[in-house]
Amino acid sequence: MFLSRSSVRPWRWACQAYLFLAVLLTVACVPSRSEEEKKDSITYGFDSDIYTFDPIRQRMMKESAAMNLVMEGLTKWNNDIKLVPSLATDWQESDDCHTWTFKLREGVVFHDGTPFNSEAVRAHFYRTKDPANAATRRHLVQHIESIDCPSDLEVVFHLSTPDCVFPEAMASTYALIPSPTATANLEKPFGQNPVGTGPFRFVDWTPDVAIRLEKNQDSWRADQYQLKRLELRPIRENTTRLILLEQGVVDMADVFFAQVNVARQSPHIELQTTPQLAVRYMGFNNKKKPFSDIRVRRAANYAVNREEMIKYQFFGVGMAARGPLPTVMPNHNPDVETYDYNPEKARQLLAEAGYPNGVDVNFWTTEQGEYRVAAEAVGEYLRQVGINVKIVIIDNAAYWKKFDEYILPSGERYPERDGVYDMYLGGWVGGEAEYDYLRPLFYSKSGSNSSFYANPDLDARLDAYMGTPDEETRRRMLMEMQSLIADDSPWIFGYYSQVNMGYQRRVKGFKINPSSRLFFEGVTAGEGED
Amino acid sequence: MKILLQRLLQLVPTLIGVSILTFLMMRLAPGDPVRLMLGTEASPEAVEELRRQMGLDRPLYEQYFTYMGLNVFSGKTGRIIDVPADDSDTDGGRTKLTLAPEHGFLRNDRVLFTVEGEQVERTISGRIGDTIQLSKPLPDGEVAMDSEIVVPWKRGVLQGNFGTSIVRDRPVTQEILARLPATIELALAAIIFAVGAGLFVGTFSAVYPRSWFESAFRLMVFLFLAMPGFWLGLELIIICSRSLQWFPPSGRGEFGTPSMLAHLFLPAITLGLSSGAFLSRILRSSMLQVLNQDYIRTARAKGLAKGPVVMRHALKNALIPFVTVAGLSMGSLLGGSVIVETVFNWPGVGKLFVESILQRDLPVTMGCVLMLATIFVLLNLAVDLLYTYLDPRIRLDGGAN
Amino acid sequence: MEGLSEFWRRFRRNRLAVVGLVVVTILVVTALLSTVLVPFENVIKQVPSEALSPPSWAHPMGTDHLGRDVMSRIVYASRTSLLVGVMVVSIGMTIGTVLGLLAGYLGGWWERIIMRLVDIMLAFPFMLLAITVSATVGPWLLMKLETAIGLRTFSSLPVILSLGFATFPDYVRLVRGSVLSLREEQFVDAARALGANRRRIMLMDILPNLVGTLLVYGTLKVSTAILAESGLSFLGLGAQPPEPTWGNMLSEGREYLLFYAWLPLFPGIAILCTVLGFNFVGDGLRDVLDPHMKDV
Repeated sequence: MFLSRSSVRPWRWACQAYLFLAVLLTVACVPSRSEEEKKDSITYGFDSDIYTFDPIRQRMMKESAAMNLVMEGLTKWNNDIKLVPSLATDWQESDDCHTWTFKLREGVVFHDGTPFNSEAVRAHFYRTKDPANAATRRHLVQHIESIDCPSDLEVVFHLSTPDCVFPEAMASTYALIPSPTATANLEKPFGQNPVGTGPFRFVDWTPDVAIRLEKNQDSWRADQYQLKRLELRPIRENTTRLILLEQGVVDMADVFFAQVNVARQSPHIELQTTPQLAVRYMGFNNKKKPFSDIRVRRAANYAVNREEMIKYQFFGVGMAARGPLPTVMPNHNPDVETYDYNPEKARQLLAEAGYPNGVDVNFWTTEQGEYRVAAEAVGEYLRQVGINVKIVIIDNAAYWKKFDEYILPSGERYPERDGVYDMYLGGWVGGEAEYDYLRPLFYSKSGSNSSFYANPDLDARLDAYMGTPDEETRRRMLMEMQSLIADDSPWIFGYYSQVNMGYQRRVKGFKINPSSRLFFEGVTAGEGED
Repeated sequence: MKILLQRLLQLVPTLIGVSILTFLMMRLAPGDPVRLMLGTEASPEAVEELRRQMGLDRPLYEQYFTYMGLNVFSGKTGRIIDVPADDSDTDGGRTKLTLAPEHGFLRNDRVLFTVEGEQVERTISGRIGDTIQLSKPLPDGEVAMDSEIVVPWKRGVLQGNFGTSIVRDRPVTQEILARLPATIELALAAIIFAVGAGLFVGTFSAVYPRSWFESAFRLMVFLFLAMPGFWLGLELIIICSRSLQWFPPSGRGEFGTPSMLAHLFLPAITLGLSSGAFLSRILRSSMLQVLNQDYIRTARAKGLAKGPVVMRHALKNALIPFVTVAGLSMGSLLGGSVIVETVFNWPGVGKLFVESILQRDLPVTMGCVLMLATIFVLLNLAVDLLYTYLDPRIRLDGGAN
Repeated sequence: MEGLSEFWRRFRRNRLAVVGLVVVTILVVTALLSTVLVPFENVIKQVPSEALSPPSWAHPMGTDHLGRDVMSRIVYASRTSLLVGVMVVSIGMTIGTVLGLLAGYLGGWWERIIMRLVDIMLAFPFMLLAITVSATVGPWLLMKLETAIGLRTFSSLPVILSLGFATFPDYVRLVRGSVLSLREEQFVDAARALGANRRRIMLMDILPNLVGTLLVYGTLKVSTAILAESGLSFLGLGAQPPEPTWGNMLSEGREYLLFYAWLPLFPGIAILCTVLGFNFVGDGLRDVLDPHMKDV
């Protein structure tokens, strides 16, 4: 059909209006921040969300990272996984690790002007202990019986059970010290209005959009920090986050493992990776057939070709696990029983255990991130030796919850509930202290021991560990415990994941940390991209 | 006016039903909010205690009434049983009280104290039988033992309180209200786009049926109706944002700036395309009907050119179903925004809803569902009323079917 | 027979509908033969060293992130996806038709209660209801069902149950509306005069007259169900692995979109074609069976 002149005209305005609108929108493209504002400020896009800044309610990994920017603990871990002084300058145990005395740093002031002193420390731990506050880590401070404040700069912890690694615990996120004035102010919930002594001061928070922090000029280590502003942005979609990083809308971002190659090839992005202080594993239900049999557990361990899996399915991101502790840890034991890929041996062990024709098991995992990929990959390896895995995806929240539902009030497990899962995919981000891996994951009465692994010998050693003052002895105990666990193989020791951080070239001096915390000491941000 | 009131009244039972249904669905959800709050290592006693404190041990109907803020079962008055000496501790001047056990547990709840005949409101958190701190000291004067304390304990939905988020530790109302403008902004932008596109494509294809661009448009319409929204969104991000660098891939721009438009563009298109496609079909079919009617033919026979005829008569008459459907698709946009907001990291209610449901943060989920459903219902009512206004032949009180 | 050829003659006039019918037929045949066409071994077998290889002769649609053959998976997934679509419609339609018949024919309290329930359900935007139900009621229903029959069922059942539950109100409205107008027709009067009871009238006289409308509407709704399933998969609430659906393949593929664009492309196209096919067939059916039905 031909368009006659007259018939077109009435439509011209419509076309024009549409064109105009399109041009207008195109012109109004990505807004660039002014150069002035860009200097010494960094925007960091991260992969999960932050819900609270209250250390007693911390649940997410990124919350821990953010809290550690605003608040400080008595001690802290440095980049080389060594315990160093922070708000405490010195500490001393006495009375067989039943009492710990910390000397506090002088002249430290909270962002709101409240002086940092022993009372503030005491107030925090009492607040954590108070059942009314429903603290997520309350069980970890249960053994703090009382806290004395002999002077402003001295605080004494009295413990009901000996704890020789107490200073390590004081570097944890739940032990970050908030301002007592701020926590007492119920009108302004602390979780949304954090006040600490940290190098950054909380400015404001637009939920789902950004958390803004600025440099705390009065920090006792203010001279180590050049950055003036820091913005934390939750960006869930991995693809979008990477694009934002490429375009410089964010200066730093977590890079999803499947996109590490994309980031490597992008001309604008620097990528730093490091093995993470975390371990991913496929836990067995050690109480239930078939995995109550050590031969089947070992067979499963031999069945998985971790190197191949990491190389091809994980883009080389990660490292095959050897034993229960991450390799980066100083006390990792490299000489434990390792289970190199050996399908023949796996089949043979399985046959010995009475399953020459294979066995059916279920395998629980969540949808989240790399979990599903890992579960499907491992499931396939197991299938090839005759362990026929049925993957069950449980959504996140219900997943973690299903595990502890089966514990009776007495701490015993529901025997009949042991039948629910045969295997599950687990990940543990335990931080820097070895004890924070071994105790929760393998102690028979621990709530996080979802593999129902119970070894009286190990229990006894874990109990003794806390009360052993000598560091060398403790070190030896750790080594022995690792071999013990590796021998028993209560899990398929999977792989150690990796922290992947991409950043714009203008960010200088950044050093990635194996824990998921962020350290910005000495980091500078130039004006343009260069 | 009377009609409006009548219609609003008719909404009440629906909304009550909506709230009951939502509430029941939430209670069926797997996952235990108490466990979620306390983590895996919490002792069973702590779990039981918090469960009691949160009122989760009460019968279901009672929980519902409490949630809605109908103080049938709770909110009883209570008494102060002890006022410890004020200067005993280091907390400088903050009033401390011990409350009688019948209050249960208070968690950032607001409490009315009667001090010398005056009512004073304070936020408190504390345990039954325990000494609790007040947010601000009570005014000077006799805090009488046994003085009346009204615990508007669980100001409920009806009073605008949707409870406290389990994960975020913040009032749900605040969480939702902070995100509502973003959602409305996106929905409006999407409907503007959809209406614009629908008008444009719809009229074109009606005026020039069986032309090449009618076929092309039709194909596009079918395609957009058949594409999963999140896929379309991601492809748009890859093409328009990564390759062409025209638009930012995610987030929301500051209100009233060019960046707002730039940020809106992709999500609004993603959200609006299927509605636009649908609208264009509606307009096309209703216009074809009108165009085939006698008076149009007469007008054309009289020598009027096609364009003016279309503009003056056909479009005007075909607009009624169009407007109705446009209004109704606002609702499906609200539903679709749930996914689009997640794809584009748009800080709206839809994204909040998705995150909360994946985390079993039931108070937030419930709040979002109730809020969106209420908006949806009100929108539908508005469309109905608009429809009556546009088409006087239909009377609401008459037996229109 | 006469009617059928007449039906076909009129259906054939709509070219798109014929195209749609061809697509749907291919789809159904593929789904029925999927277990023969591709052995399950091919669907789940992983060759890690070949992960993410682009389309080639050996793998016409390439391999996915775990090194599985995408084409085998797409073919196999047609079964699940189609099952989701058809089951959702069947469940929704069954509940909806029963309630709609009751409401429309019995009237009175029945009608009031049922329509109130429908109003309430329709007060939720569809996707919102679908997500809420599949995260809450779905797992619960599944748990009850599995404990009742003592078996683990297949992994897409919660999605099917949830979407079925979320869609039934539409059918109630549709059926009730038709019943209301049919009730006044002469043949119903005639049946009543002949002394037929209400149940008989409903089942034997009214229901057969609804089949056309329901068929049209149901066909169109298959598309909606398939699209909704993909949306749920995107949010992580869809069917479970290793059983593939197009929805979860598309959703998994999105992390690889930047480098391996074909990965989400094929399941996306599969969804697109299926939805188009069902929409065309639905439109065609409408033209033939129910020319008065509005654009829905």
